[in-house]
Amino acid sequence: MRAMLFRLLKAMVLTTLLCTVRTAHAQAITVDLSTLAQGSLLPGTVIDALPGDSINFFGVLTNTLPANPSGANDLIMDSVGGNILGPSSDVTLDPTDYYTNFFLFDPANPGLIQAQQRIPVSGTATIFTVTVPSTTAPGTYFGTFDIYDSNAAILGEAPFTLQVNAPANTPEPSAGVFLLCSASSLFLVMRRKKRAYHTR
Amino acid sequence: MRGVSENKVKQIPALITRAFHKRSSLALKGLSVAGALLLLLSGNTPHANAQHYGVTIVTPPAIQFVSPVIFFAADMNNNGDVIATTGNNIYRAFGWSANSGSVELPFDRPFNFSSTYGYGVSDVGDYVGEDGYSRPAVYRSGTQSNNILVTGLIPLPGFPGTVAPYFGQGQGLAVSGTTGLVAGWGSPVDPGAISSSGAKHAYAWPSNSTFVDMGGGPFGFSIAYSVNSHNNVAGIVQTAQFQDVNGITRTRNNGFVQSILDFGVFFAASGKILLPTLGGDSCFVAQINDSDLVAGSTQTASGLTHACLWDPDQFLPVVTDLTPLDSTPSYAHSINNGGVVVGQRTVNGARGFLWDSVHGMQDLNTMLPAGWSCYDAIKINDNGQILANCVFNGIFSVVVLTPQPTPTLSGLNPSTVAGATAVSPFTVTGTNFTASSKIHVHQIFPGGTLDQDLATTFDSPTQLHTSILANLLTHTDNVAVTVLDPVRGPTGGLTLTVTQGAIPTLAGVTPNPVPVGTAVPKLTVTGTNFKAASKIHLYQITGFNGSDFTFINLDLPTTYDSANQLHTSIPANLLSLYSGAYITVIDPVLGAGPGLSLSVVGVPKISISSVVATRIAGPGSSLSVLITFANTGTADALNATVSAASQLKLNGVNTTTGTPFTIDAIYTGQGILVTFPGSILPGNRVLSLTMSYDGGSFTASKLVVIP
Repeated sequence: MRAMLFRLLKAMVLTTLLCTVRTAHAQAITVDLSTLAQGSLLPGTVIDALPGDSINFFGVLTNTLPANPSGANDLIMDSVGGNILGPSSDVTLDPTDYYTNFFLFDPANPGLIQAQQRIPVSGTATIFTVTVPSTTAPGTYFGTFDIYDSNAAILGEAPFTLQVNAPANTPEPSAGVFLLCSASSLFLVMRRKKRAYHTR
Repeated sequence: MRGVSENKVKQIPALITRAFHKRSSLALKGLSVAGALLLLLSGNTPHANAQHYGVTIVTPPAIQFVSPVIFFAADMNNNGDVIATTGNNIYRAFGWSANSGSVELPFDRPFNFSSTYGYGVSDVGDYVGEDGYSRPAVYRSGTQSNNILVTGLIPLPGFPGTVAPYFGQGQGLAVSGTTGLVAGWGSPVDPGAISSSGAKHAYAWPSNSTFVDMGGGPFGFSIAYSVNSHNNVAGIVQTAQFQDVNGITRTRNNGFVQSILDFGVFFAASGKILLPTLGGDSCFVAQINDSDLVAGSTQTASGLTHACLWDPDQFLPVVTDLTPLDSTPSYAHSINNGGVVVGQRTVNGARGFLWDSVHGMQDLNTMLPAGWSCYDAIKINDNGQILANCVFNGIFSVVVLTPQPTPTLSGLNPSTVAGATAVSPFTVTGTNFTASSKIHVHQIFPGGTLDQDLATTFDSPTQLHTSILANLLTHTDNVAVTVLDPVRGPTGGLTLTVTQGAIPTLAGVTPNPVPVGTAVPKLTVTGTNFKAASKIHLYQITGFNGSDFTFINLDLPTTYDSANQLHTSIPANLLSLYSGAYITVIDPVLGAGPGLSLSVVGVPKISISSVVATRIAGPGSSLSVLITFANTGTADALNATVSAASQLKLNGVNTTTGTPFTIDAIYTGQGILVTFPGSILPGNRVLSLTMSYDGGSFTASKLVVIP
């Protein structure tokens, strides 16, 4: 009985492991990300955000394959996608800028990136935008941005980590009204005194 | 006869045995046995506990033609005023006080290049020395309640120019602390010459109108070196002249104590006391205090000079060797009215010493602030201040050492702490703390020791506080806590008990879940009883090797945030399997507490593999678009939904945001069929689709051709 249980457990574990081994992707394109607020996103960089933020990610794509005169190492970027995992499922990634700044740069050869080619040639360009709705729960969000070829194989991938913090307490609206009223009263009193001084 | 004086009280242990053996001639005997015992119980031994000294440097005045170095410092009174001599080829006597600085003493001198010398200073402000005519000189710094009621130079009567003291600290001329009595020596035969006749007599000047020839002894040679407040003079006198076995003529000098009332011929029945040697031929008398104890040095039988203390009040005067075990010379230079002796030893180099009857011989160098060393102690006054020659950073200085109140430690709060746990504030109470005091911890534990000054805040002379960082006390061995003061020295220690504390508990792990194969830059663990040495531990079954399961079972590099929070990072390779992992916190002493699961979940990676767009009823009609997915991730997005128009875009925000569409069918995990209105123009478009699922969202996009 005990041996049977052990075999069962062994089978379950092995099945689980077989199911969970992750496919290794050959990532010929490197995707270097940066943000305006935190600059280059080195491994381990956590991007701080607040509910309601919209974060532009800048990027540089590089085909790292060796230069090849025959063009064998040129790649065709077919589609892109992104995943965001976290406490809320309402944080979204919009890749539209990728098509504007990276994919459509040469309509004659859509999606082409030659071996050793860098896009953009200098500087960075917006590659995607992450939107954090105001209702998003605070917490850590793990994201990836992926570039696929026509066979749905990943050509390049850029992971990022977003830390959505709880919004800071803001003053009660009534406090603002009170301040506004006080300032107005002070202004009126001073103006009246000044006018009285000039009319004497 | 006099009563029990305060000074007498200060040396009770030595005086008890003397009480029965007093000699009446010195007129000092009034101590009763009962009184002595009573006072002994009080335990009053002044200055003996003054284990550390503050340092004040004595600086010479600027004098024309005189090199500004201190040639020698001679005396210091109970106010801490110093008399010394400065110069190199031309010398000048000067007085110094901590409050007023230094000033040249206005002793008479015939020329600018004449020298004057300072030898003694009394409590009433009499400065005695040698003037520029080689005469004894007294300068009174102010009118005092004394029998010499003048200010300025006081003429000493007698043979003009008879006193020609030779150089050497404490020698030649001395002045009583309170009466202004002056003692010295000179030649009665040839007043104008220095020892040319070989006859020298001790002299004393009870007032500015009288002087006393103390007599030269059997060989016409005596020198007075010190005088106390009871008219007793101490000095040396030649007592023998003989030929040794080698035929060499030698003399023997003994110390003496003599009342100024008994001047005349030595050894008369009226009471002159000879002080014995330690077996050698010579005595060097330095000072007699008001209890008639005499400090000095004398030769031993082997010819060594040893510091000694004479008690002339014994039935037979007793000499005590203060350094009986030394095989090198030592010299006692001063004794105060508390019976404390200072001088110089030459053990491991010249060094100042402090001696009293309770603590015995003590090295002054152990009582000084860091960096200072003392090579000779010249004088000690009744307040325990010591005039000394010291060195700091290789620079020699004459200094006044002032005893500092010894700090004490009486309490710790808390007195028990949990190991590896931050404690703030940690407060100590006691006395005599200063802003420089530091709380010090000392702990011996298996394999090592901890010795550390803690960053200390001075609250008051009776309280200090600090913070004990959690990574300081990681062992449960008790800690000795002391307070160290750079000037006042250390306190005694109190025990700080370090306990094991409590086993850690976990309340949360954030983020949780985490995606498989993805590094977690910061994993925060909250709970209780965390310590600086606590470790976040990751445990996960990773496989089966045919006979055993394999594990990830390791401590992660952990940062201590507080007793309730730790954090770490997990590299991607440790999260390569999506299955349950387990997080615990390991206490350095107590081990692991109960843990929490960390979910490592798969993530769908969905791309659009194809888009087929057709006009349902020819050009300009509605557009049917079939979007099919490819999932290369590690989880299905079975419940993925699209519900808002903004989540399906053509050309994103550029042209067709919000283009109305209808969802015709959702093929779970495989695709979606939608219909766009016929107004969509033909051409290239970017189609992007955002869908949410339980735990996240994905966006897939592709360039499509609209027919």
